[in-house]
Amino acid sequence: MPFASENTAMREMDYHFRFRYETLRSLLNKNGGALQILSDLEADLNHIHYYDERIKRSIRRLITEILLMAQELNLLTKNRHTDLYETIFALRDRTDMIFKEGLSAADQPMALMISGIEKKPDPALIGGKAFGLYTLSKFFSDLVPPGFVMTTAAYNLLLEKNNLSDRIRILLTNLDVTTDRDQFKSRTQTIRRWIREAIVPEEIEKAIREYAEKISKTFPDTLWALRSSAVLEDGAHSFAGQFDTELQIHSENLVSAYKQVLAGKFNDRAVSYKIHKNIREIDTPMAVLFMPMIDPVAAGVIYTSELNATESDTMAINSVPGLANRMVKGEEPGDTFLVSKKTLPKLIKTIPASRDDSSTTKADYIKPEKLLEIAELAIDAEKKFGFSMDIEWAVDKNEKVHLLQARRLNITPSENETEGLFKRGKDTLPTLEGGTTIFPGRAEGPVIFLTPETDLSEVPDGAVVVAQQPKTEYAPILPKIAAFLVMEGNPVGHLATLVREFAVPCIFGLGKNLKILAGKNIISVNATKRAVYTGIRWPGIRESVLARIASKNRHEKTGPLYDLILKLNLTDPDAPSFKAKSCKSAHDVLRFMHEMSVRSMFGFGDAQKRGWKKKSKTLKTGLPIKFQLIDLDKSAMPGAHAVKPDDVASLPFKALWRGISDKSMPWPDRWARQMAGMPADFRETILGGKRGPRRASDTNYAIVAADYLNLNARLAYHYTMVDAMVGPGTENNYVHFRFRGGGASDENRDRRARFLESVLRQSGFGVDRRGDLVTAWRRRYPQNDSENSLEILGKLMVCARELDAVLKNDMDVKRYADYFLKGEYDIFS
Amino acid sequence: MHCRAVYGEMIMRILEKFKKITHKEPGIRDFCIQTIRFRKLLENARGLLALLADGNEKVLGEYILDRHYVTSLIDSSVERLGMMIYDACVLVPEFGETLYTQYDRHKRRAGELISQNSPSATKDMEANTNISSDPEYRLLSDVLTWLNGEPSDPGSTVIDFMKQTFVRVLKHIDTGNNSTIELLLSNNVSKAPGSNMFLLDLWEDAVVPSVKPHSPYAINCIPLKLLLMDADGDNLSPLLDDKNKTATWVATASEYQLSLKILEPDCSFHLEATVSRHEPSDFIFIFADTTINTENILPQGFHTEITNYGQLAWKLDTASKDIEDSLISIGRNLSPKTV
Amino acid sequence: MEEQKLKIMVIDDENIVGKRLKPALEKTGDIVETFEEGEKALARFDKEPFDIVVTDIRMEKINGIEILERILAKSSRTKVIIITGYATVEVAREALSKGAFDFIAKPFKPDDLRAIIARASKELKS
Repeated sequence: MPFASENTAMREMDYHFRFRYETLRSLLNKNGGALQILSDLEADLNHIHYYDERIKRSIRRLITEILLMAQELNLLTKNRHTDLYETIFALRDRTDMIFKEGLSAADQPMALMISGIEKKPDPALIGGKAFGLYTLSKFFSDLVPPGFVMTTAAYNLLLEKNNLSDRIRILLTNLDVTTDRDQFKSRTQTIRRWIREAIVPEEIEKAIREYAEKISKTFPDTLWALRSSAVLEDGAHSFAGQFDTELQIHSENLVSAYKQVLAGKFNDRAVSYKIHKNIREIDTPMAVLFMPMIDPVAAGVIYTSELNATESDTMAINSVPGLANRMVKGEEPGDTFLVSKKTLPKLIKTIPASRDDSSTTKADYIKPEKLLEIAELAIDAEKKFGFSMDIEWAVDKNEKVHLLQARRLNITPSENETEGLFKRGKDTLPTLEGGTTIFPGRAEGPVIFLTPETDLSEVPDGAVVVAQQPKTEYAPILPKIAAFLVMEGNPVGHLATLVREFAVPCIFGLGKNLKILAGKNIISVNATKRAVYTGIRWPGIRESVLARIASKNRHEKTGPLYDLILKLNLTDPDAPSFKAKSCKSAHDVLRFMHEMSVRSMFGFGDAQKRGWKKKSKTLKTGLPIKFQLIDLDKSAMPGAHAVKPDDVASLPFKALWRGISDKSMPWPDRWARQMAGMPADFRETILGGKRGPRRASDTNYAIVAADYLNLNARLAYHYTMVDAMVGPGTENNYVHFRFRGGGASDENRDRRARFLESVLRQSGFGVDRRGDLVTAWRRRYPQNDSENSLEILGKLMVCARELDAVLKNDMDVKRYADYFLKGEYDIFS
Repeated sequence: MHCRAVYGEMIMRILEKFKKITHKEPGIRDFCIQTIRFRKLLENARGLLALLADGNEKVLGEYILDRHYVTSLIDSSVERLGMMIYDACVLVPEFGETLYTQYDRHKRRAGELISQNSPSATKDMEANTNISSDPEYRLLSDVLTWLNGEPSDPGSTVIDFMKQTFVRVLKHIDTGNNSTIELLLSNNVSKAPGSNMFLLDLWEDAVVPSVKPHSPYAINCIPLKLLLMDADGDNLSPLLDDKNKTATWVATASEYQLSLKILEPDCSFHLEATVSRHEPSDFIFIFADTTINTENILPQGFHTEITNYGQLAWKLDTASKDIEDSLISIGRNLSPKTV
Repeated sequence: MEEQKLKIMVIDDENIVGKRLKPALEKTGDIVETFEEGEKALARFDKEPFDIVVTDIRMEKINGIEILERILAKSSRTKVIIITGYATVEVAREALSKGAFDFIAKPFKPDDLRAIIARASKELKS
């Protein structure tokens, strides 16, 4: 029978097609699962140690999935990518090495004395402040008051026993301080409430009682001071003043004060500081320091280096009568004493709190001899520690000096700003001069005056910010501003410490004269020379300031596993480096395989190309976009060469198309009218038809099946990918979205990416944004929700098309996101 | 080809006979990838069993559930089955067409169940007041029949189809398809008396440098260590009739995983195990052909099934300790001396 | 020593949920009232506050988040437990940040819910 062999051939061809289809589905399905593992890992690594068994298990699972995906890709491409195997086995090998290096955490004590202990304590256990104090007590044993620390192990136990870790984790995820202040506040408030209401495990209460009693033997009936001692605090990051302190606590109230200090870990300042500094929750468990109160007649801070380069041989002592906590918070000015740093320190100058040199007020609560004694101690400490320091001190009624805290002082400007620091500018006179340099460097930008009403999230990137007082509340804006000018201010307050950490050019104590800057547009600041000019002064400085801000805020995570697993290096599929050999991380391998598998379906460079071409159909639409469809399971009119969107029986395609073709979408239909008379060829070129100036990978293609859609589109210079599985069940449904590129400047593309991020997040997607690359996902939602998500994506694809040319400033991002979410699409046309 | 023996501590005698084959050998990498694919197939098969178990638990009526649960169960079962069938087709391409024809039938049935508005109310259920008459529960009951009801003809239920496919694939790859390995091994079988076991290091983590200077390598595969703990190093045989026969084994191993099979033309014995001390993933699975008396090998608590193709036995969803003890017993039982 | 009885309100628009939860939760001697409509439940709450409210998140007329907010506005000490139809972290996050005590995903065993209620009750007493 002549037909029989043909039938067999047809059948074989059909099975061959079927197997390719199933291979692609399997690969994409694994891809979805692998991306889920990646995002879970990224979140887990913020909360779990990298050497934890759970991390190891997910990574092994991830690599196994990736290996199977590589096998599937090779089935699709006739073994064109076998070099991937080598890469994948090597990844597994290298991650194994990292796990081996990880240490297993042993049983840790709940409490430790900070002085008089033999074994050097682990800073990760007692926190930075307690560790600093421990080191100080080694050198100055009789000057550091006794105390004990409730360790991070106690903190972890308290969280665990109250079921709080996961709940806190949920609230801290995707928390954005800059765009939604209310949401931010309500979440941090909830966490603080949980901690204050937590039940303190018995072993913790017992430890607090026992240790307090030990100290009470030498300090009977003492009141207590409780201070935070977070891990990382006073180390690489100062966290100065970010956490709360509880003073004058009676012994019977220690437990509730303890919880109060722990809750302070989640105060708005501290949380936003951590978000800005990109510090992970896992790296900052909270230890708490318990010390008997010193009843001081004077207290303050000493810096072993003055910050103004011209006076490098002097030290500054700041002092107030009584307790110093209001001063270090910037709420109360202190008296400043400049002391020469020679072999025998000498008091050179006294600047009273009122900042008025002619004032007759004298600091009579502290004798000059005491100041010199403190200065000598500080010089000694600087020698012993080997770096410049700031040290908190107190003098009690018996004139005994106590050292309460010591940390490293950061006063080195970043390289970027040292460059050309001493070049002379034009010979114009400064508008304003004076004050104290807190951090040197030059900057320029628009002036913003902070008032109590200012919404900090509205302060634009790169602004020169003017404030009356250096309040710790301003910490969240430091990472994004160009310079900071303060009328009052105390160079030893917490905010000053933070300013140095963020390396923001800054002058304090400029006085009321600063008000003359009101109404000025752009100003230039030279914090090194303590001078402020109106207008633009140094060419190129604004760009370098913005670059500094951008690099500071880039959410680059680090960690032993980050580079091997999470980091995405292969972002541009058109780049020559988009090769298996360039894959450095698991994420790279995934990205590479995904791209190659989709390409292979369209047979680019494939011998079977013509076979697949036959299977592809043209999508007939009234809209100015062109699509070729590959129909995997005859869900789009078998036999036809062109189909209408309505004839495509694919659930996810229909949902996406509902969004794209929505009547309210601002499609430029006027184009069609205007170009009605134009030759077809020309129109095709303009509208991105198949004869347009494009490479193979630019083609708009969609792969569809009844429950599946994979769409790759290149509209107006950007690249969009939608990959979705939608069926009546829930478990296997997913919607993935990727968006990248654009024709506008980096800044504008970045803004569009942030717009997408904001809309997608608020529409229930998980989102990851790296520069202008936005990846979003919604997995395991019922059919209805998944379809709605696709409809939103369809609308977004239309509305965001040319948004990179529209979003002129940062405020626009939120505005346009609101328009979109409220359904006001006209604005996008 | 380069081969080297690896030495451990307590199992020295056996380790002396180990041949370690590295990844770089031609064909070995592909064999490893196929082993990982087979483990994936096994995982998907387990996934189906877990779905069935979940449905069986929920149908007892103790749970608060809605229709949504049942729809998801159907959907997940079809998806799992599809994944498993796909793995089978990768492992044995020639089965592909038949397998997909059968799979499509199950998929259609799943579609019918989902769109079913008034599930059949069998007399059984009306009579039984323990099982709820709520529509959600009636549909769930229909789904469970589709998954694993009384088989009217072989392969008619999802679970049946899964088991048949599984065994077919296993037999195919253990006998017909490993000529590469056989060839590789035939050149390297030790002439020493006693059993020979070849160790293929799946992820290059199963053999690690030892801490002791005199033994340069140690086995880092937990399930293999357990299996050999009490075993007789001179002979590990699946209780063959011929007690004098020297059995050759291939162990494909990684830190937590072991695939162990015998290389004999007239005998089929295959063990898969994961021991990671993470209970949900730990399991032992054994396939043996009908000539082997598994009763003498298996400790208590195994689920066993005898099919036309051979014997299946598995233990899962139990404490890690139980899995570990079972492996030690199996190793001991495989040593003829102790019988 | 006799434990004090808890007053528990269950709100779910699928009647199977209330029907099955009521007897299961009453086993421990607590008082349970079930509602299929949120408004009716809220009206009942006005007359007499409950210690614990268990509510579904997705319901036709009024959703669980709104119920949560309105209950907490009436009685801040009441512990509200949210039933989610499927594991949705977003919704859970919103519920927790608005003061829900905890959440549980369907399908669940009454015992799982009881464990959460036991924790809530411990907090109520402390």
